[in-house]
Amino acid sequence: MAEALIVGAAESPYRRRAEPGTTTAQLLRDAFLRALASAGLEPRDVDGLGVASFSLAPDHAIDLAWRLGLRLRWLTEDTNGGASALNMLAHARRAVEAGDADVVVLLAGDVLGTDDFRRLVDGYNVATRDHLAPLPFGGPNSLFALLTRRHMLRHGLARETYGAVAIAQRAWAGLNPGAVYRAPLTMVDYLSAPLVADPLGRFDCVPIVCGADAVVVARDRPGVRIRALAASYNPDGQEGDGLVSGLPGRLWEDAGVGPGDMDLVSVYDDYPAMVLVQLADLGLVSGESLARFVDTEIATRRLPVNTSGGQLSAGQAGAAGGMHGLVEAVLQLRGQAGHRQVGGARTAVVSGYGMVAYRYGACANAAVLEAAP
Amino acid sequence: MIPITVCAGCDARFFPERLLCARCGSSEVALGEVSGGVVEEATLLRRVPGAALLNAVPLGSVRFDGGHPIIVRLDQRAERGARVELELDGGAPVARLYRREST
Repeated sequence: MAEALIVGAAESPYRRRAEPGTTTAQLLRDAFLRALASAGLEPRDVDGLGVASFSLAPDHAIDLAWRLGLRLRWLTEDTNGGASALNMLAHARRAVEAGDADVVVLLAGDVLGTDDFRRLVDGYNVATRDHLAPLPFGGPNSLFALLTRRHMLRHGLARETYGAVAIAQRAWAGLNPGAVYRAPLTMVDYLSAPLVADPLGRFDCVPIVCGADAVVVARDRPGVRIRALAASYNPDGQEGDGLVSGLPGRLWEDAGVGPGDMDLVSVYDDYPAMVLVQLADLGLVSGESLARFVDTEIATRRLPVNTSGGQLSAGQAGAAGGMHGLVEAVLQLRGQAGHRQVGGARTAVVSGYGMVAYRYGACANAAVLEAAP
Repeated sequence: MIPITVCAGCDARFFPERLLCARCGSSEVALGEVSGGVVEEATLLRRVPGAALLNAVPLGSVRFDGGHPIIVRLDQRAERGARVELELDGGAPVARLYRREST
């Protein structure tokens, strides 16, 4: 059976707040149509669907399929938040290669207001509902404040290093008309912003937006190759320091290329510390000093990281957060990234991360992608 | 005291409750208790998205005795290494500072 490729990718424009009356299903429909159009396909070509959303309930994937009028032979729904996109991609790739489906559309998106978000994070799982919400903990910001403290201590970092990550991503966002937060960010802005949970300030915390993303997986059509996928779920039982994600596993061996071969990187960026954790895990950090690496590689764009502006500047549209970086990498590898296009981009690594089971994310995955010849 | 899961096979201790021992895989797990721990990191939660927070909340990561780090509310701001007493308040682990660990 022929290799499964990513043959389409699109994003339904992110908004800080959804227009009144806009539903999650409507944004997923928009992303669905945009991704199919980018693949040159029609809804009637689709025989597989995967959906990740926190706010689609009480509807599920089958309800969305019904309302989209799809006749399917492959269907899945993924609850793994920031890791859902690559988890679904792993399954869809195998389904398409095995012939269980010919054209699979993977969707992720959310419309979450402030109250919705608070309800979501306070009831994220039983441990959170019973033991974190009553603290109160205010959502994941406080947990990643503690993680960032550990990261600072481990690597001898000051807040400026995390600020440099946020500033570099904001500069990329300035080139992306789809990013919600595009105004240039300075170190003075970063350091003087109100603290949310020490040491995290406002610009360390991913802003919640509304939006949706979609990718199309099929074979026998031009598309972006998936050289390898790797995943790590619950690597340490939440008993560690959260400063490792469990990756890369066999990612690079399976890909047959190395981290130094990557032309661009999309890492899951709910907080700047997690950008640095995943870059290190994936073997992308050169030299011994993280601070120096940020200054010489990320800030200068010698290593293009999160070229859409990432979630820190484009915004985190709920479960779409895990697909945002995938869509961006596919656009880059197809030469469709507009003013932020990385010249000659042929290879990319994308990571997903998420589902804070108790103290930090329990899910991590990554894919190595390659442009069509 | 906070309730913990204790493995009868290897004496591993967990919070919150586990279904099997995450260290040795034993199904012989029982309810136990722990009353103390040491602060590893602390933060002050100052803002909550979309909600008024009347008072900042000191939170911390505390390694409970014989176990692993858990997330607690601190009764006051604390430094790394501070020794605390643990109790449960409406499901929330609360840590009361009683002396600094000598380092």
